Amino acid sequence: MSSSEGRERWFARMMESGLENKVFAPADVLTHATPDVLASNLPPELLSKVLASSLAAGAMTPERVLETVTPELMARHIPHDVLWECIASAAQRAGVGGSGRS
Amino acid sequence: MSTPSLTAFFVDALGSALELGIATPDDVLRHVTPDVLSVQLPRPLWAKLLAACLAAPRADAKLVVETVGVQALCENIQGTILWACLAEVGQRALGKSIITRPPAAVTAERPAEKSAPTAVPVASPPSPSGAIPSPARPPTGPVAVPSSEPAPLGAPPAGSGTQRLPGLGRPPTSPGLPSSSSATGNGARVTGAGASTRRPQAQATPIGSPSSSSSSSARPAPRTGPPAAPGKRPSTNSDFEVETDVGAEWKKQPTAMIVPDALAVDDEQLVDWASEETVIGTDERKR
Repeated sequence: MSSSEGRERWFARMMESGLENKVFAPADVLTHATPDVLASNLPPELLSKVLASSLAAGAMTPERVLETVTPELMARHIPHDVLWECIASAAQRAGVGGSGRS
Repeated sequence: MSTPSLTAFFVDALGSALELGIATPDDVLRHVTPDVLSVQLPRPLWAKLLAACLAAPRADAKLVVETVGVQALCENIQGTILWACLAEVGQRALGKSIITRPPAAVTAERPAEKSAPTAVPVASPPSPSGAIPSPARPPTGPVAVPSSEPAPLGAPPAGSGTQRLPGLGRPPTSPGLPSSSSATGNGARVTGAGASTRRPQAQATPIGSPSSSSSSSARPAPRTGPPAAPGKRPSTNSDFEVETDVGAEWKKQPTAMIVPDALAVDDEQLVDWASEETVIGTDERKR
């Protein structure tokens, strides 16, 4: 496993755990992984799925976006420093962070 | 110490970082220091840790982390400390920070007395030491190059009497051994290879004229002279020139002894050389 692959898996795990444990919410994720970031980094087929699922549900919510853009996909396509910002912000909100912001 | 959800997050984040090799136990203990553990780790866990360390042939960070466990660490250690550890790992993973570990060995190397650019390559800032900063180098310094070339069988420097590698040419070339080595010493004066080939010729000259033997006997004196030569140098500008000058003197002196013969003998010597080779060949064939 290459270092980049390991890092990707690590970020995927952190994002998954952060969401599971409600350290941060999908809305927090989209605060950092903005529409611009998503549009710039997600592959066309994934963008298409996001839009399709939202259209099918009648609304596009952060939760719905992240149902499609799973932690694995986020770690694969979204710049890790963006994800890290999300994690660091959550840590700061939780009162344990402060040194992890880039 | 942290909320359950945060603890779970730390367990996942730190645990997976360790599993994936993104973080090491050393990273953890850099933040979760023994002092921190001593205050925040429950005594039962301390007992377990001590027992494990005592039983293990080697106690290291890995042992500590494995013994205590990521789960227990995250449950008992302050969240800010865990986050500091996680943040460092994350920053490093993102390549945003350079963790400078004091390379103790960096300055270990000596500034190199005579050794040229060899030392301190890695850590030393290239700029200042640019070219062999060794300040102590005396005027003879330029010869420093030869030091690396030590091949310097090069008796030549001998003439200059400049710093010589202790063991190499001097002693043997001195009057003591008139053997081939001494011959090389003479001829090597100016150019290595060519000189070495000539020397045999020079020795051959004695065959032609007895005076040559006297010249050979005279040589030792000049040789010993070179070391003392520094006194002669004053006239020369640089060591290099000095060497060549000395060499010239060298030739001149012996030739002065043999002047007439030497001129005539050189050609003969060349001829003798070839003949000698052929003779050797014939001898070998005969054998």
